[in-house]
Amino acid sequence: MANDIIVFDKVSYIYGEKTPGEKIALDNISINIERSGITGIIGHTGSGKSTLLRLMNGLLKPKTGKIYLDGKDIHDDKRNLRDVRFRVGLVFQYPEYQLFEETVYKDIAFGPKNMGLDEEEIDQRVKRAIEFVGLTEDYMEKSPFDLSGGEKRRVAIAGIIAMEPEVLVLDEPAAGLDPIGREEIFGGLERYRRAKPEASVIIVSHSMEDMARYCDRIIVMNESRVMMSGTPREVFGQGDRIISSGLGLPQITRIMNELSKKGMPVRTDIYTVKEAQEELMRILGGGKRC
Amino acid sequence: MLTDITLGQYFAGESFLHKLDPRVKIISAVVLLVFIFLASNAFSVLFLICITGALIAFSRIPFSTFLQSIKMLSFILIISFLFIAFGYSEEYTHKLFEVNVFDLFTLRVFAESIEKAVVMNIRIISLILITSLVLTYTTSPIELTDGIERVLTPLNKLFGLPVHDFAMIMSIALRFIPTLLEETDKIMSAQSARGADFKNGSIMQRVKALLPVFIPLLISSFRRAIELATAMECRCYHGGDGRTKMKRLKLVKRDYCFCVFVGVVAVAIVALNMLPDLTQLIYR
Repeated sequence: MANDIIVFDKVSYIYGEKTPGEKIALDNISINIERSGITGIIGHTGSGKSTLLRLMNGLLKPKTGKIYLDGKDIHDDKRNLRDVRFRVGLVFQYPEYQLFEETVYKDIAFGPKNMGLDEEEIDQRVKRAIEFVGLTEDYMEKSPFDLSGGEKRRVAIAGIIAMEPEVLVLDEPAAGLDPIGREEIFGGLERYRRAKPEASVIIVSHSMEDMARYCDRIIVMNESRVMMSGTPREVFGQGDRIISSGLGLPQITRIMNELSKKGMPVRTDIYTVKEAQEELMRILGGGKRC
Repeated sequence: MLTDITLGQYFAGESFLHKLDPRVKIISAVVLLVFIFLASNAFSVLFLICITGALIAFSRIPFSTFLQSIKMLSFILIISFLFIAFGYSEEYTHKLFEVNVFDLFTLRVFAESIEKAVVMNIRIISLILITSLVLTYTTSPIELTDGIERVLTPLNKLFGLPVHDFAMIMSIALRFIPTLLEETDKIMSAQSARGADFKNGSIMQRVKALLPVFIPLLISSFRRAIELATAMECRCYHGGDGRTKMKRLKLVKRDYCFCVFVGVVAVAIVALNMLPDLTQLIYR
């Protein structure tokens, strides 16, 4: 338990309670999110992922159950709630629509400023954050509304990174971006992780490839409950269960599954191309590379 | 949450009221509105209560909805009650009691003033309930704007007013209320995730705290407007000229029945108004 940064203990959440539109978003779920490392959350639309994220930083209050951040109940003291939001930085879906300042610099500085930091510290944090997301300092005086979609997205993510949260939470950070845009976002996350190894990152995504590539642990949500959680190998190894919950598998896992169905004795819990290559070489050529 | 606000809410249903022609509903609502305000004594407002009750039963909308709207009105109701109950007129003769306020002035309450206050409150309640029953609760926004367009068509013919365009603007505006509320909620959450504080601080600080919400909201409204305009043009929308309707409005038997009902209500209110005030009957 000591190594868990966020713990959900039997948490339920209901939207529009006691109205005709009542909807159970989370049904008595318990999860642990480990300190440092990247945790992925997958699940089809409406499985409760976004609610889960909003509960993490105290934007929503659970109907029942408790949420602990670093061992402390986040709803214990109302005055701490703002502090919780700085410690758990939440990047919403399509975060570029929340940009509002005249310049990129001011927009990124909004979070740190609300934290009450001094000018010098803010300045350093903004510069660091802009570097993490792969933009140069030339951007700082530009208007965020003149940037391209991918650049706006990165500025918005920098706005959260500049708060230097212990847990960085991203809701579909690459949704709607082209392959280069995705690459840049995830590249930025890699840089951030290397620079701050103690920080935890939580990502929600529909791209199984991205999840397989970047995550250390994966939580699978299905119909308001946690269906599975574990390492990518444990999760993607149970291909049938994943598919039955309406999700897909990484392409390479699908290929291995098909090969196995065709009678080839390959392992089916493979989720990276490199591994697949080694596995195929093992079977075909006795381990030697061509 | 912001999205919990019920603003001109429509309850989908299949009741008699739901099926009425929107034109009939709009005109009836206006007529009823006038006659509700003409109801001036205890007997006619008693009649109003019956009518409101009957319409509520007809609509098959949960009763709690109506209690909710009355609760929202409670402030106005209390204020209007106090003002009228403590008001004074030469005609009042039956004093009930008086209150001395700090030896400065005396507030006198008369039986007549109490009656007037009660009548006024019932009028306000039935006014709100009946108009929302006939219009917003049982008519979808689309039907409503369609009805308004048709009712106002003579203005287009007489004065060349762009009635169709007004109706289109209105239906688009109505359509986007929930979308914008949802968007506001999302942006507010996103900014509070960055530490924006909407609940604490002085008024100036709170107004300032709303800037990070309003600017993105404004920008996205423009974006939506442009996208919608493009999408409409792609589907060859060019205003109301020569445009036909998928749903053609046609008056049927139940519409005529409702018109008769409204007429009866109007006549009944006028007739009941001729009866003397309750106070006069009691103190005779």
